[in-house]
Amino acid sequence: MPRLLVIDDRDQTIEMCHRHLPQFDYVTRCGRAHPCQVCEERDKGCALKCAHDYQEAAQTLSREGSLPDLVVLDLHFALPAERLLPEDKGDLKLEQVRRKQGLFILERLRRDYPTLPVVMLTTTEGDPATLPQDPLVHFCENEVVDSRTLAAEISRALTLHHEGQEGPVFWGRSPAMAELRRQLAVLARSPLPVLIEGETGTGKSFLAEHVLHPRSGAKGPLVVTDLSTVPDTLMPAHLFGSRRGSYTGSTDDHAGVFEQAHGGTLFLDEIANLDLELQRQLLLVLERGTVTRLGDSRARPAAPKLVAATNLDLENLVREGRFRQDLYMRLNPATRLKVPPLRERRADLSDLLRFAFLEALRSEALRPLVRAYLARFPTPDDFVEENSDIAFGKPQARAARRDAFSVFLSQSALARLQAHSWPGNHRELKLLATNALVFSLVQQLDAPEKARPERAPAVLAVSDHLIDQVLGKPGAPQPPGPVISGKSAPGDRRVEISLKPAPSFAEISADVERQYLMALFHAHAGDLDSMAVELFGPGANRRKVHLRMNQLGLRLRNLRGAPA
Amino acid sequence: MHTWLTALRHDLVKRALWPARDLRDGGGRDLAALRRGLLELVDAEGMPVTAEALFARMRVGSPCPAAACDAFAGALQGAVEGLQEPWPRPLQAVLALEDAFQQLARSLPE
Repeated sequence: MPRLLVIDDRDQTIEMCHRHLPQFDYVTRCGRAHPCQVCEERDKGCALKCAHDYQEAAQTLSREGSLPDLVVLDLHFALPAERLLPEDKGDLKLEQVRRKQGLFILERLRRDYPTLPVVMLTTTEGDPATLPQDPLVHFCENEVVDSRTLAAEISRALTLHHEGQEGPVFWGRSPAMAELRRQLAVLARSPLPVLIEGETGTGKSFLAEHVLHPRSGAKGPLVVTDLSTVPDTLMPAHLFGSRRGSYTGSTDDHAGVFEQAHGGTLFLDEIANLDLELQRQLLLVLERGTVTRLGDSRARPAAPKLVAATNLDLENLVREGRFRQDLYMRLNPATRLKVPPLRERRADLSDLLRFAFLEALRSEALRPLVRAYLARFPTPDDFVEENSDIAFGKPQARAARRDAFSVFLSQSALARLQAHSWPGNHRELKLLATNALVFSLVQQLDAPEKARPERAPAVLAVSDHLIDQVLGKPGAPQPPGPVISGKSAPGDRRVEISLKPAPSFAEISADVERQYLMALFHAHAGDLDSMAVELFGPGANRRKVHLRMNQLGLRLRNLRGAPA
Repeated sequence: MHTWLTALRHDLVKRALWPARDLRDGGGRDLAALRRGLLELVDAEGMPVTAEALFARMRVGSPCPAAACDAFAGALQGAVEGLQEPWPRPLQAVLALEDAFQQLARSLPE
């Protein structure tokens, strides 16, 4: 049964909820099963009350072992000034503070409990711009409120909240993702191939792994392969398998990915990378449900559910003669799926940022830095590192959880991130979160002793300036990384490379190589043959360069449209 | 809507009408709920106050014409007095506040 916390200066709301909405459970401050307003102890002088102001709500929430499923919050609070937020009212008129107290409470709640959904009793007649544009906040029209209306709004909010998150997949609230989810639910149970289109980094393989395969009911394994990373010469053996000695260096019998995935799911990423001959062979395997290894004559069962993905427009490639029409039709294009890029999911971005930052914060790679930073804070007995939290707002100790590590990003940083176009999509988002945390942690760890925070709770603020830096905004100062411009001999190429911290040497090396290849690409006006010659000497094959660029996520199509 | 009307709706009308709407839609004869909604109110400081006393205080700052305020005060008095009458008069009297509030809102020039 969903548990609700009602924050209202009057007892009427919770009384009405309790009387008329028995489908919900209610949070109380004493832990009894029924709200204090209808508790027999109330008449005996019990001092405990439900949340009538922010302080009482905060006390209740911090005492609870788990958060309620939803908060019902009133807008107007008729309370003495000392019980109203903000603590420093400055020039604010008391009457206005009372009339909009719910918004002040909401702001504080969002900062402390960013994932908690809220139904706010308010009016939609005012200026909508003054109401928070938060997907977790739902508004219930005050004028027509009755228990049935409120129950419907609470149920709707709970449904939306629970539907937004499903295991590791955050579907969010964008119509495009809702449609994708609906289609995936059907196609997962279909034996037919699934074609997924989407820009690089949109999570195509993630959906295959976490949605399509688990829901297919297949007993066989999931095999994932990125065709842009397999050299042409090895591609047939990789796909279809090989007998020992069938080609130079083949020392053992080898099952290809089709065979490995028999009875399960085969995810072929970047299927547009296949040449026409391999496309023909792939079509035969799909038609027959069997595969014959290279150098062998025996057909073996190979009937996985095929999930193919591409960041190109296959229909276009068919028209250009670069992709076989018969294979395209075999991939079931009528039901092809389109994964929306991040820039089309702006309403979900604050949640996606939270996930990305939390994932980075809890990653093994960052653990040493996080531990070193947390060692500076006195740690309460009930401190749980896994409860780490990301909040949007001003970093304030009193707004942070006492028993966990809280990372703060400002609202203006959030706005900057929401305005970003995210060409690298989730991949870029993950890197940004990692970079921002590494920079912030290192800056704090390297700060002079007297400037270090030393009181609980453990908080970390990611500055707006840093967000600009890791976004690589034009005009923003570059991160304090090394600039490589070493001494060179005549004829050597000099390339300036700026580095950001990364969790591993592998990622740093990849970043260096990526920038180097991009510089070469522009210097050679996109001629891969001449790039290959410069890199490997006369006679070198452009394919080698193309393959490496693909492995590093450098897509020719994107580079050709990008400024040098 | 004028802030004064918003305040009146929040402090008084909503409190009285919520239980009345529930009883109208769901049935029942919960006179106590109607009484709580109309008689056990609090003012801006959180102090107990009756609906009539609260409106008398609030109308000092009303932007509405005096006649419209008088009409609403009459409806309010009718609702309070209606609580003493046999069912379903208490419910009807409280529900009448909905129309009275709309009349009051319409009395204010756009």
